[in-house]
Amino acid sequence: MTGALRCSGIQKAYGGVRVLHGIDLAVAPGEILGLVGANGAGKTTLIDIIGGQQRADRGEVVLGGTRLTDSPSARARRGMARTFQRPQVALELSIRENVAIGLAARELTSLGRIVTEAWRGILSSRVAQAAEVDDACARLALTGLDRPAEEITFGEMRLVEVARALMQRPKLVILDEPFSGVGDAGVAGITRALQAIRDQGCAVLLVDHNVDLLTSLVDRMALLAQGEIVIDSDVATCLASERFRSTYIGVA
Amino acid sequence: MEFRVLLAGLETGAFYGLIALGYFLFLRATAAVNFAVGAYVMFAGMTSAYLVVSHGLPQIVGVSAALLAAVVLAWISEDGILQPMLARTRQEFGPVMAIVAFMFVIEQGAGLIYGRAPLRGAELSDTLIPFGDGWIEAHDLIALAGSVVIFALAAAWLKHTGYGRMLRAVGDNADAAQALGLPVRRIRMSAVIATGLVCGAAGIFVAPQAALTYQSHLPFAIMGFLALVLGGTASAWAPLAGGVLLAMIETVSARTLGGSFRDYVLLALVLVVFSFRPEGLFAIRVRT
Amino acid sequence: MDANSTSTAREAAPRRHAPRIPPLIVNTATAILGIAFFLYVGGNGYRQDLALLFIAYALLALGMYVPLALCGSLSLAYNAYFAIGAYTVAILANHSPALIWAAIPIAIVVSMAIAALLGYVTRRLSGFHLAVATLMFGIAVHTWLVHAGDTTGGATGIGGIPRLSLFGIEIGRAGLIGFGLAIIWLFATAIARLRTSVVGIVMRGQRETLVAAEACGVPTETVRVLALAAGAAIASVAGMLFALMNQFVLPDSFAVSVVFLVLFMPILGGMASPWGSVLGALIVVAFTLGFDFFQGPGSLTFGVLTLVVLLLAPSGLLGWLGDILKRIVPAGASR
Repeated sequence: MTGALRCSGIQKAYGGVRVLHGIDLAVAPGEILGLVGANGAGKTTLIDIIGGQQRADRGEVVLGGTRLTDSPSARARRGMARTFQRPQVALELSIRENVAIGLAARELTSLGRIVTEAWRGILSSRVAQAAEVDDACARLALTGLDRPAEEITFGEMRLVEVARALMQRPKLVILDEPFSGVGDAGVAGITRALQAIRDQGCAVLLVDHNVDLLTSLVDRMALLAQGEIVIDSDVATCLASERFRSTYIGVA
Repeated sequence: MEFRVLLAGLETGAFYGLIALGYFLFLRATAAVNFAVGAYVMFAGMTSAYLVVSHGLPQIVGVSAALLAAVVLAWISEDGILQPMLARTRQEFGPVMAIVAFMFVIEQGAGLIYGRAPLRGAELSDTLIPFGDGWIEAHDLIALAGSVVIFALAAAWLKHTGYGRMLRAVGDNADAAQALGLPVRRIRMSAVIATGLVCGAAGIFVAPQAALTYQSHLPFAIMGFLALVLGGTASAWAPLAGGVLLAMIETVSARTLGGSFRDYVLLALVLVVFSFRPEGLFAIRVRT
Repeated sequence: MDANSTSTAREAAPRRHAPRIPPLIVNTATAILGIAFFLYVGGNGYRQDLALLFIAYALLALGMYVPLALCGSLSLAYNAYFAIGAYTVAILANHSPALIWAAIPIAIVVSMAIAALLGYVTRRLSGFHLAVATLMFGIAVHTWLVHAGDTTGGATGIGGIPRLSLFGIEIGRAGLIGFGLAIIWLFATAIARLRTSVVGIVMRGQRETLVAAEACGVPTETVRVLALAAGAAIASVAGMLFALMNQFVLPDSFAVSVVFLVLFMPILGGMASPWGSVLGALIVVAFTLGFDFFQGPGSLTFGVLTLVVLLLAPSGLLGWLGDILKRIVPAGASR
């Protein structure tokens, strides 16, 4: 099953205010789509709908040919991974432990597996150090993995979220403003990581409001304004488009 | 005679409804379920009983002290406990734990101050009204009418006053409300004071009807919560509907199954209601 | 866009980490303390009474700790699980003493099933809903103990529980105390290990960032139910020991007020380690139940202390001791 994402006719309103008017969006495997739009345009709402954290009033989300109606954790098991606009990182745990949750989620798929793993954890006091976790963190320029997340910077939290998402070995990755607050090394790390999984056939949906940062990374761009997808095309066409420039600059 | 039973049922229903209203107002303000409202009711009732019956002070003193006590306790819960807890952790159990601990403190405090023996309050009016071949106590009518008036006042407050209307916004998303320039703290405090007054009144109404002990708060808290769950949170009158419904269920089960089955019936009720309306039991989102 | 900026995304949170003492030291130290405690109690009847209470409550506190500290779920049905353990032993013992051993799997399975059911019913509701559902269950069970005279002996309970014999040797009070202390040590150590294992990390992550955990694919509802069931099992073991130690059961010992005592123990002792729950149990038992003078004011003091801890010193007593330790040993242990 691929990570091909297709949204059709997504509508969402809050208390009478229409946020999304009928969104059609698609991301193909092996492609990075950059979704831009001003703050408050509805990008995060759309992502929440795709991820299952919110329900659309109308429309459907299709992943790999299957219509999605289930919970966020079920969608994650179908191969979807995401990060959050405000990083959701457990402050009590270390960086390594936070990232390891992404890996653990892959393993703990049933009650039986959880119980077995719990027993193993009790009987052996050594915490399994997964090299995979350390690798992913290294590629993202995350260091000091034993530090409690409470002590790390905002930018590092973003990197932790990206690492955790990649640990899931997803087929579709959705990133909500992963670059904001992140230093140059981190940006380079995220960029490389995304390109790597894109080349492996993963679909990537990247949301940000910084167009310049995206243009060198993404294959296609879409602009969300006034609750609609205004432009959806390859980078060059978008940048050349008068509509894009005026809309974007108009709301930026 | 049946009318007496009906009246008693309505009174109980109104009582549960008032506690549920206390939950409701607090919930609107803070999106937290304040289990201590039962303790406010109990403490207020015991205060008025203690002052009027044990010390012979006039009713007005008892009533005022009871209301004041309830308001103060509600205020401490909000400003001293709930808000600091909510500020410090996103984790849910912290506020729940703190409220339960405070509820326990009020319980033990009441036990220390008022003693462990049951306290019975004095009726607001000694008059007996002849009815049919018996009579009705004026206090019961006052309690019932008073409860309805309180609900009407609450509904009016929520619908027609500035603070009342803005309350929902504050409870749902205090940050956004703050950003919009709403006086969040004042709005919350007004709801908290209202909670205190409502619970205080409930305590005053119930004190002569049932002997209160320092442990009475727990059944109050539970029944009030159940009344809220049954009635929903669509409007200020919903808790009253829930309370009356709960009292009816209680009466029916007592008659058909016997008194000792009450706790089982209520447990079954809770499980059934929780199971079949898993989302949106509350029109207002409780902090999850 | 400055990764080196030290501005963090949240307001000043209280320091959550006790200095990490190597588990080997903790395990050895607590084992030594346990043995010392056992010797201290010896044959002194009064101390034995307190020790028995401590053992029961320490296990209850550990049972409460598991879902609370690992998953952030507050369950209030602990008097019920306590009762299930105790009454299963009592009822079976009165049929035939040999059946007492059967009480172990029965009580554990029943407690776990109920905890799982309550957890399942409230799986998508808030923590307040779980608290109410479990509290109501606890009340219902206590009512049943008092009223279902045929099965539970009603208000007079069930007596005549014999001493267990192992290899022909009768296990007396001292033996049960030693056994109970060993069980506490085993459970606390196991929970501490679970806490740092993969499952424990997932649980703690879920506790703090539920939405993120779900988005990763963690089956959060299953994990939560599992934690609740594990806590219930531990509490039922407490009940079994309690019945064996006292040789009778009375409904009074299983009222809902038990829950409110137990509730404070993990908080007071410190949530960073299961040993905090044990410490909390020791303090509460020593002060409220050991000294009559403290009956009223004692309970009140604990409520207030709990609030103080929650609001001001969330790491509890262990955390406070850990702070002191940190000042003495500035290098601290690595995580």
